[in-house]
Amino acid sequence: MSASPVSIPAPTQRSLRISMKGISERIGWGGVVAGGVLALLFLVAIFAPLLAPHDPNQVSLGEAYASSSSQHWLGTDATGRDILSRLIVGSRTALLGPLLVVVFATLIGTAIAIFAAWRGGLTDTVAVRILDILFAFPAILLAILSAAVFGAGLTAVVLAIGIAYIPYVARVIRSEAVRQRALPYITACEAQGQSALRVCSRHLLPNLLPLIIAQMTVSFGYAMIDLSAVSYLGFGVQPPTADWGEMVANGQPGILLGHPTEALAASALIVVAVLCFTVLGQRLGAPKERRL
Amino acid sequence: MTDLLRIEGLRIQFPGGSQMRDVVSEVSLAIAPGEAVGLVGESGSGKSMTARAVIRVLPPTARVSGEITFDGAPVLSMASKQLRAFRQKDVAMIFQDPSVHLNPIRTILDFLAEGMRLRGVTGDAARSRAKSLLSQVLIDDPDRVLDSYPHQLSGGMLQRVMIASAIDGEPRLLLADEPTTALDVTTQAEVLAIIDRLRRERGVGLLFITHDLELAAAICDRTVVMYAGRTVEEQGSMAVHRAPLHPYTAGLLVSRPHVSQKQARLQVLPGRPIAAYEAPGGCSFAPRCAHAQPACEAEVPAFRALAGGHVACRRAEELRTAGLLKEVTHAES
Amino acid sequence: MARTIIFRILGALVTLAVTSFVVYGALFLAPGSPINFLIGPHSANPATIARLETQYHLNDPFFQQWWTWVTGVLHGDFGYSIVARSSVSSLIGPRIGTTVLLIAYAGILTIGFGVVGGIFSGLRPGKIDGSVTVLTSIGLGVPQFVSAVVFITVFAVNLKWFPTFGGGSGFADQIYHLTLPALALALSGACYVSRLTRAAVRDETGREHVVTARARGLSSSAVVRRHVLRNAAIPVVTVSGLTVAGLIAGTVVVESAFGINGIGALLVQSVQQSDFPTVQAITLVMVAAFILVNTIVDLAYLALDPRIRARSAAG
Repeated sequence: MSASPVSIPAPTQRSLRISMKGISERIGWGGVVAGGVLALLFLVAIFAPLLAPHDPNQVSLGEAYASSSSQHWLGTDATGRDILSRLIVGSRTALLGPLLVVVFATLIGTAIAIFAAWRGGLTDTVAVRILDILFAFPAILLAILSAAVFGAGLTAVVLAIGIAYIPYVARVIRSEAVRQRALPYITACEAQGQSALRVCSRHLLPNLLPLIIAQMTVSFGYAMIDLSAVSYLGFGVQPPTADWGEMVANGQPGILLGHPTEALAASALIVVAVLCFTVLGQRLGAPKERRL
Repeated sequence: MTDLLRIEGLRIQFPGGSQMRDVVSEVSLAIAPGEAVGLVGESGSGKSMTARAVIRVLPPTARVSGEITFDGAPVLSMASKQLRAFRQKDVAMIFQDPSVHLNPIRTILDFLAEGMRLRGVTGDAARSRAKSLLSQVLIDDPDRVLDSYPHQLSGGMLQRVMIASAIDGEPRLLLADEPTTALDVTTQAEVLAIIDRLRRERGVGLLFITHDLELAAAICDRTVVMYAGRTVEEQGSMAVHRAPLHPYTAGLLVSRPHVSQKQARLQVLPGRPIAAYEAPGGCSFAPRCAHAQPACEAEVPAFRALAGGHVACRRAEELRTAGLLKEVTHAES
Repeated sequence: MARTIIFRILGALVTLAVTSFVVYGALFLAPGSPINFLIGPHSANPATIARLETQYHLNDPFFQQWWTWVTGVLHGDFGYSIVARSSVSSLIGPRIGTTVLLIAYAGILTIGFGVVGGIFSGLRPGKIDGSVTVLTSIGLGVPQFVSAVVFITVFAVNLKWFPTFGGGSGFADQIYHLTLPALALALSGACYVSRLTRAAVRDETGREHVVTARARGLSSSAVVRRHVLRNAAIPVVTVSGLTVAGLIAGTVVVESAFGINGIGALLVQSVQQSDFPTVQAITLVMVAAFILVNTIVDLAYLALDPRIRARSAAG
């Protein structure tokens, strides 16, 4: 043993090498299936241009509402565009939007949470009060308000929903940070005279990471619900760019004409993706509490 | 004379993995009217489950077999109406941790009155009866206690409330499941004294469950010892102390510190206590027993009469005559 | 206790003030000058501009402008819509009843299906409970516009049980027209309430104090009523209330999907037409309703749980 100061090991510090067996034991077969489906979706999104059999924006009015054929597996929409190609390409915005929301909300929410938990006292009280006020804004209303001010489009809407998600992330992370703050390993680090920044970044944050990842996964699903709803209303992703939420809106008139494929296929993909994010997030240990 | 409570060949199983696992394998005991019997065993020996089986509050997944009779009536086959009447009139139970055994969102008055309503006592009559019950368990300010919620009272206070509720129905049998284990040492003695006094005054039969042989001896006429889901010894409480019949009882007696006898080193039972489902074939105590022989592991020893008590040990007579069990017990002090 | 209630109400008022500040201030975040933004693409003669500048007190300091707007709102004056050429109140007034009815309808469905289903599957473990659990975890993640589209396809277009469009007139007809929208609005929340109720009932059934109640000879219905359900009511009431509050914002999506002429659809329409005064007014009304319901839930929680009550009285 060297003469270095005694360090108390953090309670949840795990090896970063994870085996497949370890993963399936931790999240169960449901989590593995959900994770597999999501991995597939991300791969499809990345290689979308290579996978799409047609140009997703190729209008062909003569082929409007074509039914399923070897040419168009899922048929075509009201303007003769290939539905399958639009679903494949639409996975990009459908996943990118929530990803940006979650990353934004997690970065800011975690920073607020750790700062409030670390300083405690008045800082913590004020932070909690401010978060309470932010809670009063349903994400979708904030998104609509920002679309009204800055115009429709993904950027303003992502930013608005990201801001609305901050309190949900911050609340969950803060309560765990407050708990960890009181544990002996943190006190020991402080007693050794380590700087607050170092203790937070080297000790506290790594121990919060599993919860942060779980929370991000669950939030991803909810962000997908909110963002696709905003795109459905016409304030998010703008036509002709393909997006699942936009496709549900675009396909809705077709339902009355007996061509529900576009709207239902896009709906099904949204539901499956959200379900997988929720299942995986909960298996990873996110609190059961839902954002409302 | 018929026994007040008779338990014969009780077996309790829970689903564990793919098959059913024993928590209690074979328990037999009897309590005469007004008699106090101590049921002693280490944690996991199945003593609490035995008491819960008597009043039939085991979790729904439990499978119970054997026989339990109260005043001649079979308890395990009672229909729900009969069972409710049995619980209301004949038997009452006190639990280990009163703070989780009272509904946190109801006041003490509400708790006591709920039992009284079953007997048709309501309103002001219920309140004044509740007050008198609380004074019987030596609570000085019954009015304040009645209007309190459980989280506002100490563990000792809550256990008195539980006792008050237990004696309210004038039961003939009281089941006390480690009623003092969760309490402070000073409170323990008070609560024990209350239980002891009330049961003597009222001639209530008592099944007193504890892990402490001496406590059982102090309160009870007879002591029954359990190990790994089986009754291994039954004797008068004094006799258990002077002349234990089972090597396990003898082991329990030496493995506790004693003020009057400074020992260089405390003797301990080797090994750890096991649950019923972990028990090997044959005598379940054999792996820890200093006197075990290969034959002990061949079959489960019968629970048979010996020297005024009962014991489940192949070599009981032998060890008793050789004084092997007496030798390790404490000198009387 | 009284102090806690006053404290909660004050907190709600502060939150309301801050949100109104944000809603009003949004006008000044917009690119370009507020007056140009208000007029937007619409043509306006100098008289209208002058009236708007007076109306919005755009020449006053910002804080004073906000105060004028808020006091106006408190008196029922939500400003003037350039697009509709009428007061915003006259736009909201006739539509708000439909929206309130939709929320109430969906709220009843949410709590009805959620709580009843949750209690049922919580008290009776088994096959039905298992399938209810699977269905609710799927339903939980169904966005309201998706359930709207699916319900239209199945119940309106294919089975022809319900109309595909519109809000109806007259109470019975309105209820008929609002049934599918209310179901679409309620679905995910009902699944959530059901899951939570089931968990709460399960949790309480396993408590030791329930064993005490059974051991003293209470009938199983009394045990369930007095100990299991009463205790489970604390989390269930809270979550049901918060879920119903969440329905308010959902009307925006559902009204648009079903073409219902309520304030939710009006909000979407106003954004499309750049009718900013109407956007501000509806946003504020919805956020205020959301805060109001949340505050009521907070107070109900306080009334239901003596432990919290005692703690807040002491602190």
